[in-house]
Amino acid sequence: MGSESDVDALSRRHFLKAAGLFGAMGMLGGRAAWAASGKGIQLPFANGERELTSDFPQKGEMILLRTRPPMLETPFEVFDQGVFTPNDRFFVRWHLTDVPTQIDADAFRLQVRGQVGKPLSLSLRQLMTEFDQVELAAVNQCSGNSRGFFTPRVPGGQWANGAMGCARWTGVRLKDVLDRAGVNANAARVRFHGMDSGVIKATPEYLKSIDIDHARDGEVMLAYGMNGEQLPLLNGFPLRLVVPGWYSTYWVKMLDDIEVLDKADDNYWMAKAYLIPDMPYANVVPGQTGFKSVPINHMAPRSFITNLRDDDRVLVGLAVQLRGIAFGGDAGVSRVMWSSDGGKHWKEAALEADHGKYAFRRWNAVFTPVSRGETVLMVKTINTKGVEQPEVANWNGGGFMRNVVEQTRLTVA
Amino acid sequence: MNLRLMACVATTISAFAVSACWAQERSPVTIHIHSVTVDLPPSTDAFPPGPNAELAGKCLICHSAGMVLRQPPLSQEQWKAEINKMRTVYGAPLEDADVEPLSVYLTAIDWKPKSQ
Repeated sequence: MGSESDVDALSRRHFLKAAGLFGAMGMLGGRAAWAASGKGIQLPFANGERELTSDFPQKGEMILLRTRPPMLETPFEVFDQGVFTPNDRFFVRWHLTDVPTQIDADAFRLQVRGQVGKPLSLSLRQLMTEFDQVELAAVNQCSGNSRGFFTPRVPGGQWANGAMGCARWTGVRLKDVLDRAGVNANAARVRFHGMDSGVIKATPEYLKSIDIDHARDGEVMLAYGMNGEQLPLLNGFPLRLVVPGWYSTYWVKMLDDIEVLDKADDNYWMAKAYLIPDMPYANVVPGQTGFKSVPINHMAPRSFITNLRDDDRVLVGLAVQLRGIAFGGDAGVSRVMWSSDGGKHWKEAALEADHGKYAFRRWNAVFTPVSRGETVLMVKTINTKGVEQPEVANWNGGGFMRNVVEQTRLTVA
Repeated sequence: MNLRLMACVATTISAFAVSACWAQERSPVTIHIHSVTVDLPPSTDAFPPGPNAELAGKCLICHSAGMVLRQPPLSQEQWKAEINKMRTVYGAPLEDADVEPLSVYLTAIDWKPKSQ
């Protein structure tokens, strides 16, 4: 036969050798769109050149989005390495410039005040010894994760898919702390404030609030532990709010003030910022007006292939392992399905260990390409509430809540 | 890693599990807490030279240049909206008369597809 099959045979031998070396089914090279070259990386959208930095304290190599105040994205390959995102690779996002760089663990106090019978001032030691300690595995995801993929593009933090992570959070139930303070009967909202602030007087303090019933659901936590250790400073040391199933805008970092309100919260960060269209998938048409907006709230289901990227090459007839992560948003993962024909047919993926309904769930499948050329792999999840990822991407002016079925374009050689 | 002073620990606080059951897993994990002092790195991003670049210098009061330089291609109207948000919400010290020239500058330096 001609040279083409010789090349194929050579490739196949090379492939098998590589597969043997790595002890698994696998794939060839590629990854042009994501290839790290030196200290840089190209995210797959316009103006997606990024520096990789290891200059931030308690952080390993991260994608630099902004130095001050820090915004650092998790390189996507980290999500292939395990269900829990290491603390030193966990994404970072601050709003206000003045992030304290020195925290005295002994001097720290958490205030609980407002519509309570007995205001509290709690030390870390008190929090850690006078309340039940609980642990919860949960995904923390920025409202604007994946904003860089919005079409048309929108201003804001231009993240790829790495403004998310999953950790084991250790701490105490917010309910228990509120019970200690004794919440008044007229309580409506609970508002949270951290130690960061702006440098201009007019800059609004970063304040977020949730309904009193939500605050007392027994799941919302005050966390001082992340994956078995204290929080990295940039992830909110010494204490951060954990609102399972909700976007991380609510997970207030360096939390030192809890205020129980007897009315709606009209502060900027609830009334003006982080608003979404009150529509399915927070989806509107660019330019659309006249819709109702509401504060962003619970997360939507998402899933990703983590071991293959666009432009990877695989060989016809050779089994390739697919693996990835899924999460249900505010519910567990019920099913993960994948397609190798652009979404015409879907197959069930195998779900791996269940770390709880708010955590990443790893999945795997085996894909054997049957014909040469470009193949589009797709993955989608359905959560335990029956909510499925949409096949068409949502759009809104804030760049929030992207959760479209993801596609990975492979070349079958 | 420019974490310093990790050794300067006043005390080590440890938590331990107590009784009771709940939806969450009760945790026997011990979290060791120590005080932390860090240095945050300075930004190496700078606004490129150009007419009215000095106005963009005021952006640096609150954030480094990288956030601006990493935006997608935006229209001058979109830049004006961003500038006005920074003025009205965050208190950026920019005058009415600054909006037009600053938006012209930001549109001019905004990312354009590289020809080579």
